[in-house]
Formats: sequence, structure tokens, C-alpha cells
Amino acid sequence: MILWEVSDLERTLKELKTGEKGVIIKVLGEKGAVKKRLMDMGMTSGAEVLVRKAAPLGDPIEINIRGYELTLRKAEAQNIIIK
Amino acid sequence: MPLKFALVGNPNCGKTTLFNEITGSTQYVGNWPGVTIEKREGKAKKIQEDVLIIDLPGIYSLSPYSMEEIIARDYIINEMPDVVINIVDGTNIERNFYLTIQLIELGVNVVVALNMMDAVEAKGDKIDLKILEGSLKVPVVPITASKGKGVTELLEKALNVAQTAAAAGGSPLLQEIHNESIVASIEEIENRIIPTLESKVQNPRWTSLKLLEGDEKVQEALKVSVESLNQIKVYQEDLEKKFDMDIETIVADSRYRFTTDVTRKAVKKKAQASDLTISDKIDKVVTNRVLAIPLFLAMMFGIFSVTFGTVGSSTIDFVDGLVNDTIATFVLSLLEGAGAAVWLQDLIVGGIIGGLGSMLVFVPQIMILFFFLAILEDTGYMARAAFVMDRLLRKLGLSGKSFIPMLIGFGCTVPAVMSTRTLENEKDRRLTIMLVPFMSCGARLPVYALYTAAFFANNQTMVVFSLYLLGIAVAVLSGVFLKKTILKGEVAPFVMELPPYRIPTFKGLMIHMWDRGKGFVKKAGTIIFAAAVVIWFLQYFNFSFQAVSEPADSILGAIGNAIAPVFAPLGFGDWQSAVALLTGFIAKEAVVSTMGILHGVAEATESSTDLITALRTVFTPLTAYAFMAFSLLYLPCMAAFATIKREMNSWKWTLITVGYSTGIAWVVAFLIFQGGKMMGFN
Amino acid sequence: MINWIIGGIIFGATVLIIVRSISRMKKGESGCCGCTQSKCNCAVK
Ligand SMILES: Nc1nc2c(ncn2[C@@H]2O[C@H](COP(=O)(O)OP(=O)(O)OP(=O)(O)O)[C@@H](O)[C@H]2O)c(=O)[nH]1
Ligand SMILES: [Mg+2]
Repeated sequence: MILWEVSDLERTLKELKTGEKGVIIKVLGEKGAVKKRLMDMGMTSGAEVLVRKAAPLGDPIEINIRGYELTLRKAEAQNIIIK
Repeated sequence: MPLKFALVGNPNCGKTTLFNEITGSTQYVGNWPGVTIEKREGKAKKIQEDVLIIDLPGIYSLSPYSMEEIIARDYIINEMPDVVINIVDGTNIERNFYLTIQLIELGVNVVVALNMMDAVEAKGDKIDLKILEGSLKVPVVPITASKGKGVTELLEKALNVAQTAAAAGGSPLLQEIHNESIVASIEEIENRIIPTLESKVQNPRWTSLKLLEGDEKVQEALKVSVESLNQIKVYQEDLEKKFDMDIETIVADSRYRFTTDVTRKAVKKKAQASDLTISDKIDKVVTNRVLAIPLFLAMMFGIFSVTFGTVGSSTIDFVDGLVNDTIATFVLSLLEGAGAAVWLQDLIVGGIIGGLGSMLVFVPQIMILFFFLAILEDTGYMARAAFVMDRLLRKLGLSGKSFIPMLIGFGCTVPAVMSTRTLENEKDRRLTIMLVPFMSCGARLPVYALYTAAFFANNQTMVVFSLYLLGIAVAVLSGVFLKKTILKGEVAPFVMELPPYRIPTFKGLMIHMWDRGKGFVKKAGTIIFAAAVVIWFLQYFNFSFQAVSEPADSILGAIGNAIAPVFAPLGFGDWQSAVALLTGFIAKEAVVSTMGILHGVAEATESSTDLITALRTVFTPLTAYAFMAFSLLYLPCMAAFATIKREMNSWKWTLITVGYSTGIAWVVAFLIFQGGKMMGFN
Repeated sequence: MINWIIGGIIFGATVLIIVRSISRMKKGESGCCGCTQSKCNCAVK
């Protein structure tokens, strides 16, 4: 099942490098607790994200969203489509 | 009946700070999300009226995940407080309003307290309160909870609302928050499905919205039938098709669109997201790729070297001299003068002063340790530590969040075990609870302090540090082992807010330190006192209740001799050590106080340096180290045991935890002693 | 005389403390780590 075709302009949050910005288009994935939490934390379409940095061992990453700092794993970031 | 004001807000927005300010209590405040995990009530002191303030755990939305969040939501929905004081972090309005909107949707009386105004000003941001009040249609009061600013105004507003408004039944704002199609579906559900439900619905508007969202808790509470659910599903699918998203996303999107809109109109931020704040600059070092982990270790090392260094040991000498020389001699002369019997002199001087004194000498060190832990908690380092360690903890199948209970565990196992409630997943919680007791808590310090002073006087800090590392290493290996065997499960997700760094207030740090010192003394005055008296009694008499001349012939001696063989392969097979470890279950400090009684009794009037001399005749450096390792790892104290039982909510798991830790303790001490002996140490 | 008065106080206090902590434990309050309020989430009722 193809959930979402990633077009040229679009990437996942995981692919964003440190210091890069993007706008969330969609959060993929099954309905469930993790997805709900991501949305409650402000990961909804139209939100601007800026990747601050990755943790010392490369994962998780820290992002700035809606004016605060949030950390999440790359596994979760992979489900977030960015423009 | 008193009015009830509930403090509701996102984690870490300052609810407990405000609670303390209003009620005059000193509840646990810390700069990371998830500090408060239980409901707490207190009487408002600042106003005339009879008002009960309720502090709740922080929540991001009214659809909770973890245990402590469920407590908060259930309170708001079931107990119906007269006013919900919604605390909003003024530096982070956009996300905080997501919850505000849900409270407004619910139709309770909301007063918004815009907190952290000092930080807002410092950042140079401007917030237009008129626009906020106009858009939300609820009162908004700016406050700075940490300085008590604006708190009286807030309470007056809340009283006002409680006395005039009679809300309930949903807010008209719903139409403005959500777009037409959602509102249309809500109305459909309200008109067609709600009347058919068996249970009476208090708040039809909100219930309809929750049913549309697919909230399982509401479905359960109302016992919604399968047919009704199927009808609701039609509305959900309609919307899902229309927006090409699932229903939860649609509703969340819609709420966030509203908050973004309000924030954009009302808040003028001075800095850009990409500008580096002070927090970012600190983070450049603290979470640096290369530095982060060495820095963590260096910091822990620094804390222990100060605790055991000059500051620590000179205060010890001072208190030791005071308690064990001056006071003991004085009391003894008093008792002799009053003509007290020998047994009473021995009970008071040898039992109580000898027992408590040997433990109380460590009060300054405990206070120093807690001073540093308070700094870690108040600055915002805890969340960073979770961020840095997540990757490593994932190897154990845990998430970075589990690191916070572990750090708290360096202070005390009881709150550490309780703070695992913030973990979303039951298996993670179990595993974390099992590992937390391996983190060396403050109560083990007296044991280390005594033994290192006796056997490793030249490198106390290194030896103590090695014990802390030993605890961590055992926790890590146990994590790997348990995850592979009895606690298999999926990897827990990790999504967490990183709060900005804050400078801890001097007052706050002093309160924590003082509280800890006080608590330690209180503990000494109660359970350690009782333990000392019982131990004295048991070592003074034999089974026919006659005073013995040799303690080894006493009741306690018999008990000790019976279990001592278990410890013989670990290098400390004397009956005193066996008894001391046994009393360690009451409280870990009791290991030291018992040793104080059992080894010091004969020369009770002299200082505890004689305890050290006495220990030197029984232990060698190697057996002393094995003994410390065993004390670190074996079964947690009674209070921790009770907490583990309550949090695990299962005897089976509690016993597994206790059995496991004691088994591991035996094995590790065995390896240290036998291995050390083979390598020629002694 | 003095022996029994002071001895009685000490043993009385000991029994009281033991009884009280057992009853607390039964009520589900953690006797706690010796902390008072802040820095500990123990139920203080
Ligand atoms: N600058 C500033 N800091 C504040 C203010 N109020 C609270 N803080 C700090 O914010 C942090 C969090 O405070 P808490 O009172 O523990 O927050 P909480 O909402 O109870 O948090 P949880 O219990 O985790 O939900 C602490 O470091 C406080 O010192 C304020 O008005 N200004
Ligand atoms: Mg709190």
C-alpha cells in the first residue's frame, strides 16, 4: 500500500539537515497513540519546523516547532512529510 | 462548601509554582515536563474566601496517554471544579492554547493565567491581552508565578467568574474554532445520536465532538451502542473523504489553525525561530556530539568529589565531634549523676546516640548531594539528559524518558519509582521500576562514607564514583537481560518537549536542601530511632531475657550467626554484618547505625572513629568493597518496597524485582571478592 | 525509678513509631524516603 507519494518538492522530516526549515504537509501512519501525541504537540499541517540538531549518537533529533523545542526519533520523523 | 479551583495546563508551565504561591506549600517543582504526577489539594491563603486549590499533572490535550495525564483529565471532567484556572506558558502560547481551546470546548469556567511574563518581557515579546480575551472570550490574567506577581488579581477574577457565570452546555466558540463541515457533523450527532443514547448526557455539544473524534473513553463512559457507533462512523468517513485525512488529524488541524490564528494576531515575537537563544547556546555544549556524554560523567564526578571532598569531610568531622564526643560524654555524666542503671546508660549512649550519631554525621553530605541534584532538576538538564541518552537506552528497549526516573533515583528511589508514571507503556514502566533501585540513592551515602573513610581514605571520591558506575552498569546489563527474557516488547516511542534552561533560584535550592536535611533528621528520629532501640534490645539480651556479657550470645547474635554463612563467600561472614544488612531493609542508613551499635557498644563514650578502628579489624579493603557493592544492589528499603508494590500493582512483579536485585547483589559481591582474591588483592 | 521512667519513654516511643509506620504503610502512603514535601511525591495527607 502506498500511503503517500513523495514528490520532488517534498521530503520527510528525517531528511532535513541541521538548520534546515520546512512546512509540515501531513503526518503519515496508522491512527494511534504516537500519531495523536505528535499532533497534540503541534505537528499538524501548515506548521513550520526547523531542525536544530541531532543528539550525540545521531538520534533522536531536536526541532523547533510553534516556538518551542521538541525532540523525537528519526523513526517518527520519517512519517512527517515536509515541503 | 469551599469553591474548587483546579490548576490545569501543559506540563512544565508553572502550575505547581503557582500552587505553592497560593497555598504556601512547598510541593515539588522542577524544570522538566512531568514533575507532578498526583493530584494535590491546598487551601488558598491569599484571599478571604474559602477556596480549595487543586494542582494537577500537566496535560497537552484532553486525550491523555500516560497514567498521570489520565488523573488530570478525569478530575476536570468528573469532579467539575468551579473554575478551571488554565495556566499558559506565555513564551509558548501557540501550543498551550491547544489545551485552552479544548477546555473552552468543554464548556467549563475557564480563566486563563498567562504565566512566565518575566520571561516574555526578557525576550522582548509583546502580547496583546485585549485580542486574546476577544478571541477566546474568557478572562486572561498575566502573572509571574515564580515571583507571585498578578496572583491576587488572578484569584479575584476566578472568584468573580465562579460567582457570576453559570456556564455548561458548550461554548458558542465551537463554531469559530472549527470549520463549517466539522460543526455541521457535530450538530448532526448532537441532534440525531445523543438523544438515542441510554445514559443522560450532561454536555451534548462537547460529547458530540468527542464522539466525532472517536474518543474511546467517552464511548465507554456512555456505553454507546454499536449501531450508534456505526452511524457516527458515517460522519467520520464523510469528513475523512472530504479532507483526505483521518478524523483525529482533521480535528487537531482545525484546533491548531485557530490557535495559530489567535497567536499571530496577538503576539509579536522579537526573535526569529532560527535565532539562537541562550538555551541553544548552552545546548551547543551540553548536547554536543563529542562532549555530551563525557560532560555528564564529569558532572557526576564533580558532584561526588565535592560531596566527599573537603567540604563534606570537614563538616563530618565537626558534627562527629559534636555528637559523639561532646553530647555523648555530657549525656553519660548526666545519667551517672542521676543514678541511672548501667543498662539505661548503655541504651541511651550506646544504642541511641551511638546508632543515630553514626548516621547523623552524614547530614551535611546528604544536603550537599541534594543541593546539586536540585540544580540539575531546576536548570532543565534532566530533559537534555533524556535527549542525549535516548539512543543508548533504546538498546535496552527503553526510551530517553526512562533516564529521568533514573537520575531522580540518585536522590531517592521512592519518588523515582513514582515518576515512572510518565512513561506511556506498561512494559517500559515495569522495566524502569526494576532498574531504578540500582541507581545509588542518597541513603546509601552513609554506608560509602563510613567504609571509604575506613579503608580508602586516600581516594574516597574515586571509590564512591566507581560504586555509582557499578550501579549504572548493573542496571544496563539487567536492562538488556530482562528485555530479552521476561519483559519482551516493542520499542517505546520518544516524543518530548525540551524546556528552556532556567537559572535556579537561590531560595528554591535552599528549600530543597533544607527539606532534605529536615527529612533525613526526621527519619533518624523515627524509624532509625526505633530500629536502634530494637537492635540494642536484641543484642543486650539472650532468649531468656537475661543480659549477656558477649553480644554474640544475644538474640541478635543468634539471628546473625544463622544467616552469616550466606555472606561468607562474599567475604563478610561475621554476624554483625549479616544483622546490619538485615536492618538495611528498614532504611539503608540503618546499616551504618547498626554497625555503630554493634561495634561501638563497648566503648560508647568515644567517637565514631572507633567504629572505624573496629571495622578495620573485621574488614579488609577488598571485603569492604564487596560489602559496599552488596549494600548498593541488594533489596531496596521498606519505603521503596512499598512504593514498588503500589506502582507495579502486583505482588508477583514486586517479588521478582526484590528477588532479582538481591540475587544480583550476591553474584556481584561474590565476583568482586573471589575475583579480587584471585588477583591477589585483599 | 528514673530507670523505669526514661526506659518507659524510650520503649513507648519505639512501639508508637513502629505501630504508626505500619498503619501508614497499610493505608498505602509510602513511609517515604525521609523527605518532607518538596522533592518527593509521597502522599502527605
Ligand atoms: N521565569 C519563570 N519561570 C517560572 C515561572 N513559573 C514557573 N517557572 C519555572 O518553570 C518550571 C516548571 O514549574 P512547575 O511549577 O514545576 O511546572 P508544572 O506546571 O507544575 O509542571 P508539571 O508538574 O511537570 O506539569 C520551574 O523551573 C519553575 O521555576 C515564572 O513565572 N517565570
Ligand atoms: Mg507540577
